[in-house]
Amino acid sequence: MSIVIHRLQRPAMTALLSGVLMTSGCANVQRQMERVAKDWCMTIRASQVLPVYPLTEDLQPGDVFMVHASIHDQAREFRRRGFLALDQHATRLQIPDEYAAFYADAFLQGFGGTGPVVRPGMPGGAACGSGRPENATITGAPANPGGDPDTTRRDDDPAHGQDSTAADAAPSTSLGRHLLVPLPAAQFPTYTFVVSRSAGLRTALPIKGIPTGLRALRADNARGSVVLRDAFTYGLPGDVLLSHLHTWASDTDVQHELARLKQSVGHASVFLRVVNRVYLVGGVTVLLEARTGAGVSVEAGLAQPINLLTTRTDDLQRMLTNAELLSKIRAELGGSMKAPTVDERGTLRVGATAAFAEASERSVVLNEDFDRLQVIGYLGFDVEILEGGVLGPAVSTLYHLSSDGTRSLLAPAAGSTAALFQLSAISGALDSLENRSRSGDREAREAVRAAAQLAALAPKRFHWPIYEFVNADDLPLLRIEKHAGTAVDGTGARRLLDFLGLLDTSVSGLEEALDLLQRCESIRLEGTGDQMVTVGPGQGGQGQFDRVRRQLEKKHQAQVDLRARIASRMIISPGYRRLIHAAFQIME
Amino acid sequence: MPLQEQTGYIKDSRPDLTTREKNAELGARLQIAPWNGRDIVSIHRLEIRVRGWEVRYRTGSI
Repeated sequence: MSIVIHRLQRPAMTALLSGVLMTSGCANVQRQMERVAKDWCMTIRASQVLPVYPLTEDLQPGDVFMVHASIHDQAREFRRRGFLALDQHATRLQIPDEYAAFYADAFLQGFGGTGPVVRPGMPGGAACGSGRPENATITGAPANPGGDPDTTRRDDDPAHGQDSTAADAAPSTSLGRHLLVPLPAAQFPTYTFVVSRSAGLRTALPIKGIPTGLRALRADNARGSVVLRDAFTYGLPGDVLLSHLHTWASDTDVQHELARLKQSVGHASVFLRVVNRVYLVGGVTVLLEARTGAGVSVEAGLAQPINLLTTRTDDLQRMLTNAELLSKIRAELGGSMKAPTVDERGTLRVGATAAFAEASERSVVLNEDFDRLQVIGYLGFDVEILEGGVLGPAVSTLYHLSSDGTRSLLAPAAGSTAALFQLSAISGALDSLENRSRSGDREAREAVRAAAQLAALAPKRFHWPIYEFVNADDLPLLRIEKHAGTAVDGTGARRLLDFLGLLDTSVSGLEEALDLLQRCESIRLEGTGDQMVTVGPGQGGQGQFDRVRRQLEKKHQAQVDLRARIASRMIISPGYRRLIHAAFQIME
Repeated sequence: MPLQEQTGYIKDSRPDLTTREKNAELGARLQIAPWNGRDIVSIHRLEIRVRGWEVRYRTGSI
C-alpha cells in the first residue's frame, strides 16, 4: 500500500518540486531584474538626477504629476526600486516664453543667450569663426523638448533642419551626432554592472544593446559598462514654475478639483510633482566583457562564432548576403531584432540604431543611437495639496526622498512672486495648525509652540518706516503704515510672517514711488507726525528732490537687505522646518 | 478710533500678467500682512495708468 501511495505521489511530488523550483527561479529572475534596474537608476540618482524609467521622450519642464503617497512611502519606494513612477500626469504648464528670459542673460552666446563671448564648439561659433552662432537666435525653448526632428536632426539626415550651415556640416562624421542640437551639454559618469542572460535583461535595462551584446558574446554572464553619450539638459528655475503652478491651481475649477481630491484621500498625502529640468541622451556605448563562456543553452547558436571585429566591409557583406548565415545571425542577436545590415562605413548595424564598434570573442562594444533624444532623468519639486485645494510650500523632490527624511525647501528669491506665494502658503499652513491646536490637536499645538521660536527672527522694533503705496486719484501717496521705532507686535511664528509681509509691502511701495520719481512724476510722501510732503521735480527745488530720492533709495536698499537676510535665516531655522514638517504630518 | 475707510493698492508684479496670474497674486497677497488683518470692503481692478488692485478697507470701530 505504501508503495502504491509512493508511486502515486511521486509524479505529483515531482511536479510540486518543479513548480517550487520554477517559482524560485522566477523569483530570482525578478530579483535580479529589479536589482539591475535599481542599480541603473541609482547611478543616475548618484549624479543628483532623478531617473526616468523607462526612458521617454515625452517629459519636459512644466510637467505636473499627481503623487498619491506619503513622504515616508515615497522614500521607501524610491529606495526599493530606485525610481519614482510618474503615472498620473495632471497638467503641462504653458511656459514657452520663460525659456528665452532664462537663457538670455548667459555669459556665453547660444541657447538664446546674447552674452559677450561666443560659445566655443557650437556650429557657427568660435571654432567656425563666424561670430554669433545661428542657434543663438532661438526665442522659445532652447530646443523642442518633444524631440522635434528639426532640433534632433541626425547627421545622416542633413536635409532635416532649418539651419543651412548646420545642415551642411551635418554629414561630417567628425561631428557628434547631436552636436548641432542647440541645448546645453551635460556629462554622466560611466555605469558599470554585472549581467546574466537568465535575467531577461531586455526588461531590466532600458538599453537594448545590452542583450544584443550578450547574445553576440554567447556569454551567460558578463561585466559591462555603459557610457551615456550626447547628453543634454535644459530647464527653468523653480520659482518661475512655482508661480505658474500657483496660477494654474488658483483657477476656480482646478482649485475645486484639488480640494475634492484632498478630501477624498482624507489624512493621506497627495502631492503635485513639478519637473523643472530634464536630462536627455542621444545614445549609449555599451562595453560587455564575458565572464563565462557560451553555454549549451544558447539558442540557435552558430557552429562557429562570427568574428564581428572584422573591418572588411566585403566580408561583412558576404556574410549578410548568405541567407542561411543571416538567419543565424538574426537568431544569435535576438529574434525580435531587425535584420543586421552593413552601413556605408562598413559597420555592422543591428536594426536602425545599434552598431558594433568593436567585438571579439570575449568582449563587445556597441554604439546604440536613439532615434531621438530620450529623457533619462529630471529634477523637480513637490508641492503638497492641502485642505481646500491650497498648495503647500515647494520642496525639492531630491531632498524630499533623501534617506534621512530631511526636507529642504526651495528658497525663491526674496521679493519674487514665488516668495510671495510661499509666504502665503506658509501663512495658510500656520492658520491650519492654529485652528487644529485650538480644537485640541496635541500635535498641532506642539508644532505651533515649536514654530514660535521664529518670532525671535523678527526685530523688536521697526528700524525703518514701513511704507505702503496708495494709488490716490490726485497724487500717488507713499503712506507710512508703521513708523520707525514702533514695536513689532504679534507673537509666535505669526509675528515673523506678518513682519515679512509688511516688509514686502514696504519694499514694493518704495519701488513704486522711486519709479515715479525716476520718471520725474510727483508723489505725496507721509512724513513723521503725519504731515504730507509733495515731492516732485517742481517742488522745493532740485536739491530737496534729490535728497528725498536718495533717502528713499537708502531705505529701500536697507529693507531689501533686511528681507533677504531674515528670509534666508527663516528657511534654515529649525522652527521653520518644524512648522512645515508638522503641516505635512498633520495633513498626512 | 472712529470708523473710516482707507484705500490700499496691490500692484501687479509684472505688466504682462494674465487674468489668472492677477487673481493668483491678489489671493496670495490678501493672505499675508498687512492685508490678512484688514476688514476689506471692496476690491477694484485698475488697468488705466497703473496695473493692480485698489482695495478699500475699514479701520477703527463704531
